[in-house]
Amino acid sequence: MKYKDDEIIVEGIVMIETPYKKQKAHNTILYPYLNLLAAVNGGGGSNSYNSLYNRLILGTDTTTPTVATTTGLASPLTSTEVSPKIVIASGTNSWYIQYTYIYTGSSYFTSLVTIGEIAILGIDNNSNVNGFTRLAVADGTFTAVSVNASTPLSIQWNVYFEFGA
Amino acid sequence: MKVKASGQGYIEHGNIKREFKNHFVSGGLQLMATLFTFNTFGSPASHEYWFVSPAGVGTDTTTKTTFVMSTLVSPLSTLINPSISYQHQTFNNSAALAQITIAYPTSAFLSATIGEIGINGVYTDSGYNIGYGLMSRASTADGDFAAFAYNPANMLQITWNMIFSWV
Repeated sequence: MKYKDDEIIVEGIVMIETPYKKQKAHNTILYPYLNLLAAVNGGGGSNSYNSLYNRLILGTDTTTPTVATTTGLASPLTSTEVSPKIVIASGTNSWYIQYTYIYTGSSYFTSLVTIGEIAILGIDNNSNVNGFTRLAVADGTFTAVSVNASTPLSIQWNVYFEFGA
Repeated sequence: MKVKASGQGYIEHGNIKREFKNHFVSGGLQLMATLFTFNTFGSPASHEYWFVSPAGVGTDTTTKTTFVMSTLVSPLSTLINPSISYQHQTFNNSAALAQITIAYPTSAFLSATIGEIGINGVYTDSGYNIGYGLMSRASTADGDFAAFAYNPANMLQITWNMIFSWV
């Protein structure tokens, strides 16, 4: 298989799953996150020791489209954050990271909630550069899902690093 | 929407100036992915970090870069370590630059023909494991730059740019 080794392509694919529905969506990587990738590789200020971490945030908005410079959710939920399971693996001419977040029980959703937006907030602790990506029902990226205390919700964020085709 | 990272740069050595494009290797993909394995819940521990560093220069002029390459083919011994500076710039919400500048002082190497250069990725993870490896290489064999004679009387500066943009 031929590949272009002069560039690395980074792509995000998100799986959203409840007992009733499974969806797959492409994760638009917004400019702040693109900038974050440069910051962690370019030192991002005076400190070259960069330490990126990512947080998953859910929101209820279903009408506000995403723009390239979006840096926050329109209506973020304040529910408890989930610690993800992280897997790193290699594919054909590629490597990928898989984050799996599983929300179960009343710790996360005390009443019926409609999830209409999903975000990854990336943070570089040393440069203080924040990255942001968003998936939104308003963009037509996925269909809103309704969850409550007894509806488990699983969100899997896959980030692929591969050579250009 | 996907993001593309491409690498290019330039070499300055006395009157010699060379521009180059780089070739990423599998280790580079792995190292960038490793960056995403840091603690993603709360704050990462202070020992979890990542940075790009020089992989040195080498004399090979005939071996093309391969997917599985993990070091330079014929690296030169470094007699004096370089000074390194980093820069990060944004461009009108459309691209962002990560730049590493590697400045070798005079007499950093013995006289030789330089035909390959590289950069490493370095990290420590949550288990205090230290990892590093070749991330990217530029070489005469790949047609990236014309080999040149290293003169210990002159400084050698390599400026490496990684540009992040949308595909």
